[in-house]
Amino acid sequence: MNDKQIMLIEDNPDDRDLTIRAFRKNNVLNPVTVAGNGAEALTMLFGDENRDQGNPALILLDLKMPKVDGLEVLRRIRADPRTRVVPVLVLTSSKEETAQELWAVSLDLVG
Amino acid sequence: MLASVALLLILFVANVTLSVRAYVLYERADVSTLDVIGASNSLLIELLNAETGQRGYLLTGKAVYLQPYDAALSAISADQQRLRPRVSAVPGGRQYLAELNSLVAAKMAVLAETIKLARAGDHADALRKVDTGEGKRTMDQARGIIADIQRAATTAGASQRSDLHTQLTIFAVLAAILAVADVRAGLVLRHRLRRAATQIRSLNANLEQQVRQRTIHLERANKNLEAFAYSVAHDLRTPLRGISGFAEALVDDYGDRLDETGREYAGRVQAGCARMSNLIDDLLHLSQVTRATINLQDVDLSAEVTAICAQLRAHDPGRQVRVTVQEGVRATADRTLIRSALGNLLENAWKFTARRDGATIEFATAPDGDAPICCYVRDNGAGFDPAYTGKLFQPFQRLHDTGEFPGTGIGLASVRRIIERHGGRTWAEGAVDGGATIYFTLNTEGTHE
Repeated sequence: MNDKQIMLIEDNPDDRDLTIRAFRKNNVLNPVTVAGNGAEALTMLFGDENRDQGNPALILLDLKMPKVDGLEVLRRIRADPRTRVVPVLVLTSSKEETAQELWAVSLDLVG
Repeated sequence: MLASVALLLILFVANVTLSVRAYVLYERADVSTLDVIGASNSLLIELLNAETGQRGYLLTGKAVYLQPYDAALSAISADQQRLRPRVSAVPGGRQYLAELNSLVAAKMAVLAETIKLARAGDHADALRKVDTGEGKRTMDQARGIIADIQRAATTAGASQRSDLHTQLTIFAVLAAILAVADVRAGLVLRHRLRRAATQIRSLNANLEQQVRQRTIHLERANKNLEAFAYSVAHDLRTPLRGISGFAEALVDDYGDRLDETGREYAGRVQAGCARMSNLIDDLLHLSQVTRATINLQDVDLSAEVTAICAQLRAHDPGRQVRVTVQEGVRATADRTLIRSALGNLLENAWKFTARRDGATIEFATAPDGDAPICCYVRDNGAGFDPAYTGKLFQPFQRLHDTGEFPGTGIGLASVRRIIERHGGRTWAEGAVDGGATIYFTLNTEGTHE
């Protein structure tokens, strides 16, 4: 269990470090792969045709990122059969607006 | 312009009136001249008639000849009366009249005398008198004077008619000028009125257009500003999370390597972060209050107040607060927003009565002339200095130290925005240590998005 990958997609270094610190403080010792933005995350997830690492066990996803934002990343994760079932935890301080969009993406998944 | 048109009209009417009068006089002058001629001719004929009657009587002695004489007597008198006023009006007429009357009198006297002699049987004496030729001379003189009178009357009549004719001509010309001027003035006036009306119409249209555009601009500017405030507040969260997180990490991981003062400083950083986080939350709330779509429905304000007070009591069970709620206060409002406004008001009342024994909070309606409904929330708490009433509803304005009563100073600003979005007004009454009453009206017919 402890060796399963956790992927953290977050562009803010402060939030990145605090998140990793929070894992360690709470004895979550899994290896954490960090993607500094949406584009990098997509490359890491789908870019390498011969990826051997497999899917991360959990993806932590920040929504507000430059260029490819979290919603787009989530949409791609859900659209791809390889990553469709990976649990994604969305990190956001926004409220209603994004919640609605998230619902829309989730409904796509269910459909 | 209107005054000059009116004046021209009055002048025109006066002119026409004078013209009619002059025309009547003109016609009358003619009639008068003919009258004088007729009457004077008649007088002459009657004189001759009288003389003929006298002669017949003298020659025959038959009384039947006195009939024309007698008839002529009264006719002469009537003719004289007809002549008197008319001839008097003619220049030199009185002189003529006097001469004529004395001649007629003399003639009639001679006729009467001879008839009297004849009646007395003295025919020869009477005929002798006739034979003197005095009667003929008198008649000739009378003819002369009558001719003079007729000439004078004709001349006077003609001159009067000529004067009146001149007057009439002048009046006619004046009338023509005035009529032209009046019509011209009227046309100018009509033109100006039409132009003014057109200008007013176009100004109105422009004004409406301008108001519409300004409103659109304002609404857009407002929306932009709100969006900006929202995004700024939102973006402030990210660095704040970093500051707060690392301060916490510092205390957690390195607390043992800090001395007492160091730990206190770190604690202050965290407290500041917490306060700033509250501010951002309130700011976002204020922004949302302004941006939220209004969804009107019938709301039982009394029930909302009771529910909020129950929550406050549950949250702070140590407090003894007497809450009075007027039952059955209902209004058309957005439930979420009005609940938020009432929440702010009641939280304030709850907060500012914290140091009061026998704290009371009252919710009720008050009469108001303008709005369909006016409510107030009254407490007997710390109150405020009425000098600063104007600042009360401004965002981030606080009239108490944070240490004394916590808060960000957003509550009443957000209440005011909510009430304004319901077409209502907010105002406050209070005194230092004398409690506070916050009034608000709702007029959802005037609600604007």
